[in-house]
Amino acid sequence: MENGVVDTLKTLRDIKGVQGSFVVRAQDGRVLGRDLPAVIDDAILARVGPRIDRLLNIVDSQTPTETIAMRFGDHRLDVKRMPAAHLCVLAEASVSAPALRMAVKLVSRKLDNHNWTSTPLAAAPDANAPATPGRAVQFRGGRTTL
Amino acid sequence: MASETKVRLLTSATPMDSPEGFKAMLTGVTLADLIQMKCMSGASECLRISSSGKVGVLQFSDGQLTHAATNDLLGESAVLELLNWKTGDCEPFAMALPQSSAIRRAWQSLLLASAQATDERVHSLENTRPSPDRATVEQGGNMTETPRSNSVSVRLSSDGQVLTSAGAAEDLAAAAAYALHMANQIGEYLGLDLFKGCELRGGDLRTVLVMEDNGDAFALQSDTEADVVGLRTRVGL
Repeated sequence: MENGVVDTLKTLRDIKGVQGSFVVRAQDGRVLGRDLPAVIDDAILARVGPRIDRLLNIVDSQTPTETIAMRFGDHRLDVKRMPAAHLCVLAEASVSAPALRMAVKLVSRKLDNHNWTSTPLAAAPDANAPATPGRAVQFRGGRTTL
Repeated sequence: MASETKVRLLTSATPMDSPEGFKAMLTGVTLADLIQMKCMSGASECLRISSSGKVGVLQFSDGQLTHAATNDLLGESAVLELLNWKTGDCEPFAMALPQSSAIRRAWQSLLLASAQATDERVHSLENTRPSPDRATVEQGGNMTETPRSNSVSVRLSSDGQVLTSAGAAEDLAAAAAYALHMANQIGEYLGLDLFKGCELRGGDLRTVLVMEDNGDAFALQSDTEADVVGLRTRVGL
């Protein structure tokens, strides 16, 4: 991953409640950059990325889906479409939504100018991996149960 | 407080010159967003809200919503009325209101009450809107077709079957069922708790999917912000 991208993603953590973020490539969901706790490894993101890309394309409309906000228990996952990639932010549900929206807007604006063709990709998903999740990693802030 | 006093409160206010900080003009922000922002930042100030000739005031003290007034209402009822205003302007004002709070409930509770009221209006709209089947019967009987708004909704069972729908919801049903699968898988991979719902936005179009306690999923798609605000709050977004 490029340091510039990671440094930009790290600025999202200025917002209280943001636990990390990552960027996936449009069209195939390959991971382009990440700033996440180690418990969410590249193999997990390799499965998550393509699904996020597909979610952004399910609404059949003249205007493509620009943002998705998903709520899972005490967490939320926000996705922002950029021209060539998608910015994804994992945060506690209690995060200030307006502050998060602004932070996502600023970061995506910065990443808009990035040349993604020169960014090394993370490993592609294992072709033999099951189509549905085979394991769940409990992620609650800093506490982890494998 | 007499209505005369209320009017005086609103008209005697003078614009405040903020000594420091940024001045900003934001669009696309709801009043609920502003209240949340002010309360979470521990603000102590007064805001003057104007919308289509109507005027209202919100006062914050140490991050709590302590007073509210419109031309006709005071306190919590004024807050709920203000939250119904969908467009308008907001500016800081210097104003002296009584120290004792006219609002007993926490700001979160007021936002939730407003969202629930909006949600009930949406459900009421859904129930009064003709179903696709009924529209066909009406057309067959040479009755005039009722004009429909740009909102469609669908309720899905846990196995993806359409239970009820309003408007041309076939595409929405398929999108909602697919989104449910994708979101559940994303949540499981990331080790997150159960998926509660999501909102997709593109241009003016908003699509909100809500998981209900009985396992059903309710999806609403609309080009009107007011239609989805209640559902979004229910999801906790």
